[in-house]
Parts: sequence; structure tokens; C-alpha cells
Amino acid sequence: MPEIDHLLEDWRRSVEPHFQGREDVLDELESHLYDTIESQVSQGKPLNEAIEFAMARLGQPSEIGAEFSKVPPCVSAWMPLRIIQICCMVLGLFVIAPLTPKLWAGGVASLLAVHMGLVTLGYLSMLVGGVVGTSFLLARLFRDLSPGQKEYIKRVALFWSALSVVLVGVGIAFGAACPYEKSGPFFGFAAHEVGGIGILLWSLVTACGYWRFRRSPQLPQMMLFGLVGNIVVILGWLGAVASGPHAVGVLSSFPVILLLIGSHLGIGCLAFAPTGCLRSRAT
Amino acid sequence: MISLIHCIAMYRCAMYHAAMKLTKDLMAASAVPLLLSILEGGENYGYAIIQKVRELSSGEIEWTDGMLYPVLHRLEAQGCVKSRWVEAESGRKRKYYSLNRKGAQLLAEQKQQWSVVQSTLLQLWGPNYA
Repeated sequence: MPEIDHLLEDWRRSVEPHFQGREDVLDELESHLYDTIESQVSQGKPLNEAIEFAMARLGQPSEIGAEFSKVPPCVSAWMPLRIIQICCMVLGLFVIAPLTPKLWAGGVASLLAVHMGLVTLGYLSMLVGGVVGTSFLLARLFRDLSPGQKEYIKRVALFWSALSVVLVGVGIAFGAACPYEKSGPFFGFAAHEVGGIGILLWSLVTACGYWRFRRSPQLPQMMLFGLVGNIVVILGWLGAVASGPHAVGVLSSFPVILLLIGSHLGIGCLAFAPTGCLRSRAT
Repeated sequence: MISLIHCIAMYRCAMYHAAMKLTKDLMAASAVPLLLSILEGGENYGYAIIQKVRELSSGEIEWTDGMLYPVLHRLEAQGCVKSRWVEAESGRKRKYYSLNRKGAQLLAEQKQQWSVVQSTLLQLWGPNYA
């Protein structure tokens, strides 16, 4: 019935603020209202009365919304993100593989290998958090993800940032345990040391931010933590390598670093683009 | 005469039923076992569940319709029920819920607990209890 459709659209717009972006809940309540109205009309009630009856039976949207705010959406995995995480884990293993011989060498060399391995994995974890954010921000340009998938993204992002805190923190502690005569002072304000501390601090801020805003519906803005995290890692890791005497590889050259930072800033701007904006243009 | 008494008795009974309202606490406590029991009978959707409860309780259990859904979603988040959207021939979608293994276990526990409450009350209210 087109009249019902029109009225339910109005109803949906009016109650949306109470449901904090839970589109699935609104779909379900709308379907329920439709069933009630149809049933009442089939029993001979005039449409206006049937609608009033259905709304009254449904209850106050503010109260229903308050109840729903206590129920987290069911987590449903987002397949692209699973694949991305597996790829990142494999990449991480390749990156730390060259440290394996040093790990078994014993003594300070092992200690340094553990320090470097943990710190490197910590940095990569932080980067995975940024990749999670990038994937989400790009995907939402084409379609809105389900609340369960958004919940999954939140948890994955929190996991990687928390893992980064632990790995970098423990890695730095191992670095502190290395003897002075072999590895120099614990903190000598070298670029890579300052970068490491910066990454540790930002991963801590990110993890706390994800935890603090875990119930927030503003997922795109939340993902900015991860993107800024990537910039911090690029500066603190690649930037430190590029500024040191042992700059090797394309990644540790300043033009590439600037390009990476610029692309992250560009992706960050997508957080403020409307959901599905590219899809609507295509149709 | 007998039929008149019968009519009055029925009227009183109806009045009693009309006046009787389950307390909010009892409604809340019984929501989960009622939902799980209905879903034990097969996949179902919100509106039909409410109608079923209303019908079985002769209208005495009157949920505020919208309040059913947070309970269903909580059960889903706890892994007791699963859901899927089904598109009807008319093109409209309905979300169907069904019981899974964890939900069946929860229902078995709920049945035991409510049976204990019921048998205790029946003994207390029975003629043998002075």
C-alpha cells in the first residue's frame, strides 16, 4: 500500500535519532508496523485508525531506542577485512624472518633480535589498524556496511591497536635490557628512538580512543585514529630510517614518505564523505 | 436458573480477566522463556510471536510490541538465537528468528527453573497446605 509506505517513511525519519544508526532495527520495526497496520485494515479498521493503533502498540520510540542502546549489534565478520588481516600477518612474518638467525645466536644478539622483532611487529600492528580504517572508509563510499560488520571493524581495530601497544611496549623494555656497551644508552634521543616512543604513545591513544568510543555510531571518524596512527608509524619508522645514515630501499626515501602521508590525509578526508556517495552517482 | 448462574460466573470470570494485568517484573522475567518456547516450535518473526503469545494467554500477556525486539536482539547477541531476513512475495522483508543449540540449552534450563517455581506455588496454594 503506497499510503502506508509513505507514512512509514515519515515515521522512520522522525524516530531515527533514537536508534543511533541502527538501520537493521528500524527495518525490523517498520516491518512490524506494516504487519500490524495490514492486519487491522484487513479487520475493517480505517487506515488512519489502524496506523494510530499500530504506533500505540509499538510503544515510545525513545524507550525502545534506550533498550536497544543496551544491546550491542551482533558481530558479523567482514570477509575483505579477514583476507586483509591474513595478508598482513603473512607480510609480518616475512618482515621479521631475517631476524631468526640472530634470535638463536644467544646473548645480547638474541635480546636485540627480540627487541627489533617485537617493535617491528608492533609497528606493523599499528599499520594494520590503519589498513582496517582505510578499507572501511573506501568500502563505505560504495555501500553501507551492516551494524554487525561495523561492530566487527571496531573490534578488529581495537585488537590491532592494543596489540601494537603491547608489542611496542614489551619491545622497548627488551631494548632497555640490552647492555649499554653493546647497544648504547637506553634512550639517546636518536630519530628511531623518538619515533618508537611516538608510535607507542599514539597506539596507546588509539587503543584508548577505540575503547572509549566503542559504542559511538561515528565509525568513520573513529577510523581516523588508525589513519593518523599510520602517519605516525610512517614518520616514526620510515622517517627515522630515512633521516639516518643507513637509509635503504624505496620506502625510506622522503618523496615516498611524503606521498604516503599525503595519501593517508586524502583517505582521511573520505571519513566526511556521505555513505554510498559513489553508488548513488553510478545509479 | 443454572444457565443464569453459569452466565454470571462467566461474566465475573471475564471481568476478572479484564482487570488482571501481569506485573512488569513478571512480564520481563517470562519474556525469554516465552520467546524461546515459541521458537522451539520453529522459525518465526516478531509480529507473529507477539500474536502467538497474545493468543495463548487469551490476551492477558500484553507486551508493548516494540519491547520484544531488544529481547530478541539480546538473545541473538548472546548466541541463543539466529536470524535471517526473508523476502516475501510482496517484496517486503521480514526478519525470522530461530533457536540454535545454545538457545535450546537455555530453554531447557528455563523450563527446569519455571517448573520448580510452578510446583512450589501449586503446593503452597493447594488444599493440603494449611
